[in-house]
This record gives sequence, structure tokens and C-alpha cells, in this order.
Amino acid sequence: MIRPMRQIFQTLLVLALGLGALMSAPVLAQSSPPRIVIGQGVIEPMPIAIPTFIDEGGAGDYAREITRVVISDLEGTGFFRNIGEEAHISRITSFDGGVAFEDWKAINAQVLVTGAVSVSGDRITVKFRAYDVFNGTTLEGAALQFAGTTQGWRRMSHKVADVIYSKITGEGGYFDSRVVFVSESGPKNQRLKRLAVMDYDGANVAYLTDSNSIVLAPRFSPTGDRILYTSYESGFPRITLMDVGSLRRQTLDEQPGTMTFAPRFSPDGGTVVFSLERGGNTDIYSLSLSSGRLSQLTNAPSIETAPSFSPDGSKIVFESDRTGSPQIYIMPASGGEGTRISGGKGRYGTPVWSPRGDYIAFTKQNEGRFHIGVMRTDGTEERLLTASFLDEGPTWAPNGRVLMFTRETSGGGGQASLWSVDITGRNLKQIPTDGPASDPAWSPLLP
Amino acid sequence: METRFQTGTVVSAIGHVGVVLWVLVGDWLFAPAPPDEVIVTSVSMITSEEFAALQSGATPTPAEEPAPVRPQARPEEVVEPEPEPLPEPEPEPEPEPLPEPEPEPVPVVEPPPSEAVQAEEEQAIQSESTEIQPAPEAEDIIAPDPVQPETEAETSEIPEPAVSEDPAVEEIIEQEPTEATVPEDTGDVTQTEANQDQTAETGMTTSLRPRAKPSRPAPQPDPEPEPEPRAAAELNVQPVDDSATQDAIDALLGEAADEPVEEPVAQGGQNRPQGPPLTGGEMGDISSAIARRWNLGAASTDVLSTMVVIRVSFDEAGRPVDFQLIESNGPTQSAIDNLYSIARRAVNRTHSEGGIPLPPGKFDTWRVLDLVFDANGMRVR
Repeated sequence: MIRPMRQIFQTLLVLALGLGALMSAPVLAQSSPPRIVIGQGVIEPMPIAIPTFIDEGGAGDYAREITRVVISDLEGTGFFRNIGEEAHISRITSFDGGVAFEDWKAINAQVLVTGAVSVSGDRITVKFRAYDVFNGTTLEGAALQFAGTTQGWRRMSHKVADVIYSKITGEGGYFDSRVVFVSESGPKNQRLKRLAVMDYDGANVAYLTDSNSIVLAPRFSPTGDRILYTSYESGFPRITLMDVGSLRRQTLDEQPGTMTFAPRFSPDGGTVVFSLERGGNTDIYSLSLSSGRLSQLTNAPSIETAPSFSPDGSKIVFESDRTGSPQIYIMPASGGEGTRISGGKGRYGTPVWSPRGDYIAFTKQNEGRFHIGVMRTDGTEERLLTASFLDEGPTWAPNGRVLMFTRETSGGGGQASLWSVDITGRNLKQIPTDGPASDPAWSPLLP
Repeated sequence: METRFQTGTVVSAIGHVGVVLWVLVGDWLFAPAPPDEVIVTSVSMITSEEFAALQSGATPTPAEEPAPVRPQARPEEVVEPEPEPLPEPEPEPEPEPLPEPEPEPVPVVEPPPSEAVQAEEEQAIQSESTEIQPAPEAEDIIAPDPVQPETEAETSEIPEPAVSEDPAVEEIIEQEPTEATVPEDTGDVTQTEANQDQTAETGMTTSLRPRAKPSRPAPQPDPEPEPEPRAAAELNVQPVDDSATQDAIDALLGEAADEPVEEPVAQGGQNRPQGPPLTGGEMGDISSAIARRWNLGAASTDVLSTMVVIRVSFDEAGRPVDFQLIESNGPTQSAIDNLYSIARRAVNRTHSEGGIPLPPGKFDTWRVLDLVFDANGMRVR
């Protein structure tokens, strides 16, 4: 008799406790607001609206041209899609007038840029504001004014675009920068090459040398006022330093019986690292530009070349074929054996450290194809961004987000051209140049 | 509120009663039950020799009669017709010995990175080191004189923050958009002549994300939920011609408009939802509606390694009225700020483009929501 009764009690108690737990569960669970995980977002160009900047006096075509360059810069990144003016509901008639956000929301413009241009004599003033339409605010720090000479209108356009780009994306811009490259002409087996500089988008080309001698691999100094390159003017490859303002040239380290090539500045601009070939062996050396002191950084029977400093100047990434095929190594800036970081199939060359320090870009050849790729500085996360008959010689944009490189087509009539690609592998595009071009090197952002 | 309070009291009472009962009669209730009676069966030990003998069926042990094991039903044997005997094949002439085949080329497995010497490949990589070629003899081409490069200091574009960031914002005029004015958002990545062939060539031009659905064409604005003060609403439906009365009404309207709208719920106990919980489906609807407008196309690579949790307060019409960043994790503060801004834009945009699917009747539950935006999954690899 006792046993069944006890079982009934037992059951009732368990049921009561269970019921209590069930009733209290929702109360306890709702002690904080419901948490909802937003699923996968989308990656698509952000719709922006940039009505033609207002002419506030004497601007004429400048207002329209500046607007065009700003749109071209932003759309060229692949991050943005400009909504044409024909779709605009509101018209911006006054720079300081109000903005009807609802009108811009209606056409799905996520960012609105308004601007005004005025010209007085040869002075031009450009001012702009960028709005976050759906948040109903001005983008913080994106309301500025630039002033300068009318000749500099294009640079001002790039600066406007740089500010907008950096405020929206959270990373630095790169539009107000230049690229030095080798302009080519003539048949493939008798190419004539000369140095040229242009805006990052291919505009404003200017030539720095004539085509009497071969020039290769130009590199900007960290301040953009000097260029290092390899010249065959003496019949042998020699590193030459050019002052961009005066075009004065100076050959570095003229040692008889040697060849010097693949130069690059240190981050402080005071040192040059390069390859020196002597007696059939190539090693990496550094040269102090102030004292002229030469230091040997590698000492191996193999070919060590293509050195590139890390942004903090403490390390150098370079290419070596000491294991039989070209691979990428990192060594201290003071020199040493180096540690291999490339580990995939194929041959690796022309490593370049990102200005942000997070990636190393390289050329890779594998299974008859050439690639431009990036990897982390420890060799992990290797990503190939391009593939073609011949892609080589990457150079970083000042913000470390975009790479420019040389692509050459196959065949006797094959020509070199300049291309750029985002480090995600998106937005591959050709840079317009007057003729064949190769060996691009990006400058830092202009002051 | 009162009911909920009673519920809590009941729950607490049940719990207390349970604990008291446990203390009082727990030992008695939960004393281990006496073990069930054990049925004892006698067994006898046999030696391994006896076991072997059992296996061979030689000498059954007299001590234990093994239960007869019912044999498994054996499948009926199918009698197959005997195949006709095939004629004995004539012995084939012995084949002439073939020449030893040459070993097929085996792909060489790339060794892991090591200092081991790797086989030289046929094509040399085009590196700076290999670019050093004897200079080709140039024809007598008269080169143009070097052009003076553009001087960089022609402009002094020093940004002047002279522009006020906050111009007057126009009064919002609700306008029904027409189809012609609403560009279709296809979600396409910008196609240029240069990258047209890249998909075939490299397969890398397109986004790694599934293509986004096109945005909805502009909003069919839900009645924009301007929470109107009750006083104003009531007065509006009773127009009076009398000017003095009208003045009084205007005064009242003014006062009502000045009254603070219900403050968004702040942190703390007031954030606790008071209504029935959201179902999984409802939360899924909210998530996917916002995700469709969560555009990371213009985000930095750092943002793609960032996570933020934002607390959003809604008014009764479902309009987001307050945002707070309550949790974050990312490589840089700039990336966190950027993702926070993108997340707010996604929520606001979802509201503007048809509204967030917040279930009616559960305002007390969704008046404050914590939304998790984790961009890590969006990282391009």
C-alpha cells in the first residue's frame, strides 16, 4: 500500500517541478531583447547619386568635368554604381539648400554627393558634401572645400573622390596618385622603352626619358619625388636615380664588371636595396643614399633578387632560386638566410609588400599560366587574382587595396598593357594608355 | 503586467513547495528501491577441453543439456539448370611477348615547401632577374624630348573644412516614385570590356556571393508612421470654424507636438520583451529582409572580419527610432564603426523599402531587438 502511494507522490512532485520549470522558462529566456542573427548580406556596388556640381560663378565646364572625374573614380573601384541624373527626382539647385532624403531614398541612392565649383581668375574652389541617405545624415568629415589653380582641377576631383571613398569604405583612397611605367613602342624583338608617368587612371601622361636606351622596373620613392630604375644606357644594367622635378639622373654604385638591377627604396627613402650580379652570382645589397655605404644582405650561390621592404622597414621579402625554382623568402632588413614563405606549386617571383603590411603580392607561374596573387606575410591564405598568358610585376595602390600589373598577350604581335585588380579578385580592368606599357609602379598619395 | 506577476508568484510558490517537499520526504520518496528478486540459475563450469569437445559435437557434457538451437530457415535451394557444357576452348596461340611498355608520365607531386631541390620547370618566370637581356640594337629613331612632368605643387588643395556638414534639410515630401525614375538594382558587378572575359579566363570576376535579388522598386511607402500625439489626432477630426477656437486648437497642437515622443527603451530592465516570443519563422523573416539590404559591396577588407551587435528600438509603427552598438569584434575601430554604419543603413533601408516584417500584435516583444551583423561569413576567400 505504501509503495503505490509513494510512487504517486513521486510522480506528482516531478510533474509539479516540471510544470514550474516550463512556465518559468519563457520568462527567464526573455530577460533580454530577442537576438536575431542577420544572415548573409550581399556584395554589390553601392548605388550613389552625384548630381552635377553647381556652378557658383565662372566654373563653366569645370563643374561638369569635375563631377565626371569624381564619378569615374568611384565607379572605377567597382564598389559604387552611379545613378544617372535622368533618374533623379530632386534637383540640387543650391549647395546649402535642403536635401529631400525621401526623394533620394525613392531611387535607392544610398549616398548622395552634392558639390559646387567657383572660378575666379585662375583660382578654382571645389566644395562638396556627402550624405548617408538612409541614415539621414552627412557622412562625418565628408564636407570639405579645396582651392587651387584651374590647372589642378583634375587633382582636386581625385581628392574629392578620395575623401568620399574613404568615408564610405573606411579605408584610404588612392585616386590622387600617379603611376610611373615603361612606355613601349616598336616590334616585340626590338622594343623601345622609355619612362613615363601618368595619373592612376591613365590621364596626363608625361615622358621622363627618351628611347635611346632600355629602361626597366621604375620605382617611386616614398615621397614620390624621386624614381629609381634600371637603365641600359652604359650597355649594362645600372640602377639610376632620377629627380622627378628636375629630371636630373644619377647612376648608383658603378662597380666595373657588375650589373645592378631590381632596385627599391626603403620606407624612409634613405636606403636602396637592389640586386648585384658579380661573376655570375646575384645577391641582394643595400646602399645608403646619404653615406654611400654598400652592404651585402645575402650570400648564396643562387640568384637572390627582387627585394621589397616591409612598411616598417624591419624586413625584406625577396625571390631566390636556392631550392631549384624561384620562391619567396623573408629576411631581416640587415640581411641573412631568409625563411621561405611560398609553398604552393609553381614558381614565385617579384614579391611586393603591401603598404598596409598585411599581404605580399607576387607573380606566379604554374602549369603554363601566369598569375598575380597575394598571400599573408607568413605564406598563408594564398589567393590567385588573375590568370593569363603572361601577368607579372604587381604594384600596390597607396591604400593596399588594389594592384596594378603588366599583362602581355601571346604571339609575335603580342603587346604589353597595364591592368588593375582588387585584392578580392574583383574589378579586373585595363588601364588606358596611348600604346603598349609595362612595369607600373604606383606612387604614394600625393601631398 | 499583473497576470505576469501572478505567474511569477505561482512559479515561485511551486518551486518552494517542491523544495520543502524534497527536504521533508525526499529521503523517503527517493530512497533506492529494494532490488528486484534475482532469479538464480545454476551453471557449471567446463574446461576448455570440454568446450572444444562440445564444439566438435563429440561428447556432450552430461551436466547441461544445451537448448536446441532452432536452425534458421534456410532458403530453398534453387536448382539452376545445368549449363550446357561449353566446348573446350582451343588453346590460344601464345602471344608474342610485347615490348616492355614505357612508363606513363606520372604527374610529379609537388613536395611540401622545403629546402629540397625542385625540378626545373620548362618556362622561366618573368622576373626582374630574368628581364636582364642584352639591349636590342635600337633603330635610329629620333625620340621626342623628354616632357617635363607635371609639377605636383600646382595646386594647394588644402582641405578647408569650411563647409558646414549640416545644411538645412528640406521638409520631407512624400512622393510616389514612378517606375521610370526607379533604376532597377540588378546587383551586377560592374562589367567593363576589360573584365568581360575574366569569368571564362579566371573565374574570379564575379562575386563569391550568390547574386542578390534585385531591390524592390521603390517603396510604396507604408503610411509613414509618424506617431501622432493623441491630442492632435482628436483635434484634427473636429474642425471648428471659429477662429478663437482654432487658436486654442493651434496652441494645443503646438503643445502636443512639443511633447516628447515615447522615448526609445533604454538599456536595462525595460528592454525585456513583454509580449509573446517571436517564432523562429518570424525571426527568420526579419533576418532575411534585413540581410537583403545589408550591402557590403563598398566595405573595406577589415570590415569583412568584423561583427557588431546593435540594439534597435522601434516605435509601434515599426520604424527604427534608436540604435545602440552593444557588442563588437573586429580588427580595427574604423572597421567596427564602418560596419555599424552599414548595419544601421540596412535596417533603415529595410524600413523604407516596404518595412521590416515585425509581427503585428507582438510590439511588446519586438520594440527592442538585438541584431547581430557578422561579416566574417562574407569574407572573400
